[in-house]
Amino acid sequence: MTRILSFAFLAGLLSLAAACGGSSDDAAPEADSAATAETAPAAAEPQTETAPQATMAAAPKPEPGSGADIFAKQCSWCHAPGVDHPGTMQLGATRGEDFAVLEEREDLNADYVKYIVRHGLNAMPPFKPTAITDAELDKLANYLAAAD
Amino acid sequence: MAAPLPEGVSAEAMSSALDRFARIVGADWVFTEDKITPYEDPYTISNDETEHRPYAAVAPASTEEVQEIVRVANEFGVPLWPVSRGKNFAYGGAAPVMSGTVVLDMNRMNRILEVNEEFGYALVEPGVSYFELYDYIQEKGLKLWIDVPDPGWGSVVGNALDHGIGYTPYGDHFAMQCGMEVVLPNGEVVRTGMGAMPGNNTWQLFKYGYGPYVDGIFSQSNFGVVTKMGIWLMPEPAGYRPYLITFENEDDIETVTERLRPLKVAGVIQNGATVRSLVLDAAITRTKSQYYDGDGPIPPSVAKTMMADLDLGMWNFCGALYGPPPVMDTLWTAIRDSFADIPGVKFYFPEDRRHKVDLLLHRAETMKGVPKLTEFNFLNWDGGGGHVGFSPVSPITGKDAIKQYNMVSSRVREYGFDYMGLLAIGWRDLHHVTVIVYDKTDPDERKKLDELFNILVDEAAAEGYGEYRTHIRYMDRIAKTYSWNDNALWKMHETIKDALDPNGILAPGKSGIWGKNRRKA
Repeated sequence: MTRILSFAFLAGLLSLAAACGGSSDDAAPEADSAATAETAPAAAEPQTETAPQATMAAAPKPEPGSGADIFAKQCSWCHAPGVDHPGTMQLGATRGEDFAVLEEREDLNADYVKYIVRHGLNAMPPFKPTAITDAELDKLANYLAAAD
Repeated sequence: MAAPLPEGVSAEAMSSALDRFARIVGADWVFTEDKITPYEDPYTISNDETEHRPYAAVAPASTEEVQEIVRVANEFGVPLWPVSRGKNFAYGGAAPVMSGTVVLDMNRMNRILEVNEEFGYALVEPGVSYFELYDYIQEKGLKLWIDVPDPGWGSVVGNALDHGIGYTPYGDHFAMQCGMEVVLPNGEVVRTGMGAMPGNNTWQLFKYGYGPYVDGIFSQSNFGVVTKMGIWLMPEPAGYRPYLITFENEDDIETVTERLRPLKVAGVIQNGATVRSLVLDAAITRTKSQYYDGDGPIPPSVAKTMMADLDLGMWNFCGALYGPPPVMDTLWTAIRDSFADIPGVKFYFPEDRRHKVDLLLHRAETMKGVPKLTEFNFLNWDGGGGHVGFSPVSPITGKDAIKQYNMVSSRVREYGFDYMGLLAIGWRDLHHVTVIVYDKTDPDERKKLDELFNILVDEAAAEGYGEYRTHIRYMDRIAKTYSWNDNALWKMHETIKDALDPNGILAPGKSGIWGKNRRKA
């Protein structure tokens, strides 16, 4: 299962690379195929239950305007640890626990992050340039790409 | 494919208007071509790529910039589709009814102008999200609660203007609105209520001012662009106790609703309480594949397993008590006694729940105004990512509740979807909101959903049920169901539209209201 999903994810990345080079018209169907890959069969066993994060304020406050700060303000609602976050739940169910928490992943590259933020994926809607500016998106993408 | 130009607007006129917009807001805040993707409906229902497509977006930073944009739009006949933050995703997101419309994205106008702890109100711009208002109040340590709908990233202003609802005693958002600033389609600015009086200090305290009360005509409409809005906030109560009451049988909804009515009308149930269906609630912590691998909706035997596993019922009533402990104790006795004789009923407080991630623990936060996005775990239920809300209103009666449930759930299941519904208990009505979760990547499923939705609207209307809010795709259809006396109300809306917006530049087709330049006979 893991191997199949990893392959599907790579296929998504490759198609993304193609999409970035082409026009937006070409990108749309490729983005959809990446989406399909991420919805591959779910693990049958129940997901591990992680207690909800007590509050965002409990964590040390990231530097204002940093990639970590943008992540906390724009992404953490769906992608913080714990299955009460829809993005974390979805990735855990379809890709496995190792891929569930974005800030802990080592396989993300900045271009992929930028593409998904602007185009959405599965249930995730795209983010407007007024919500996350291009400059903020650069910081966010670099932060997630560098996360370990 | 590129979005088409709006009907009746030439490429030259559009290009000139966009140039002028760029001079007003700066070239960085006008978006076209590949930059427009985030303004499309991400959960599109239509299979026709020419429908509901924005041509461009423009993002002002001040009321003055909105005025200038509106004047330019009139000059070139370019239609504008205002959105506050564009997060109204079950109803179309930021996308317009009419293709080619330019999205007027108000997200940059995100100032919290005032939060008044003594009187309990905020004055905000449309770009302010529930998360931002909540954080502001927490940082300042103010003893105020906000009321949130499920999407915490949504706009406080936009949700109220679309008649959105939440879960505290202040859950009817438009009822809690007080005072607006509005840019009219001709570029003029008005302040409503007491805001019309120079030097007055009760703009956010008294709604009606003097003369006709007009705030309502700027909700779900296309008569103006709201640039500031007051919203009343609830003082933090002396005590808070959320609860969950579960019911085992589908048919229980009839008795439960009958028992709810007197409690709500008398104020014993204090908040925007909800009665929610099994699958909607299960989907907050589980995916469908964890219980069922077959096609179509889950069968009753699987429902039984889910109920036992998750400590849920076929129906789950989430409410909360607010106030000093003796008050909460007294209210709870009345509520518990009202349901105690229903076979299989179970009563829970948060400490009684087995799972760490749980419906009641989640609702315990939203019923005290903590913004979140947890509810949208339901989008993971079947893996397809798309969703749309079907939202008819009925009286709080058992007869209506069971009739609507049977009508909607049988159709939804006939089309292969699980029924995921809730009854939100308003002051005197039920909002019966059914969320249909579908595979947005599958054209056949989108077509099936479209057919189902149209049937649901027509069948509801035939029984006298109307929707309180809808997706951009169904605005005309639902407007036509409000047809008493030869469509007299929509004719009045058109009269107002023509007076305020003679060139029809603001949000063509919003709520089925069109300017005279695009009105069909």
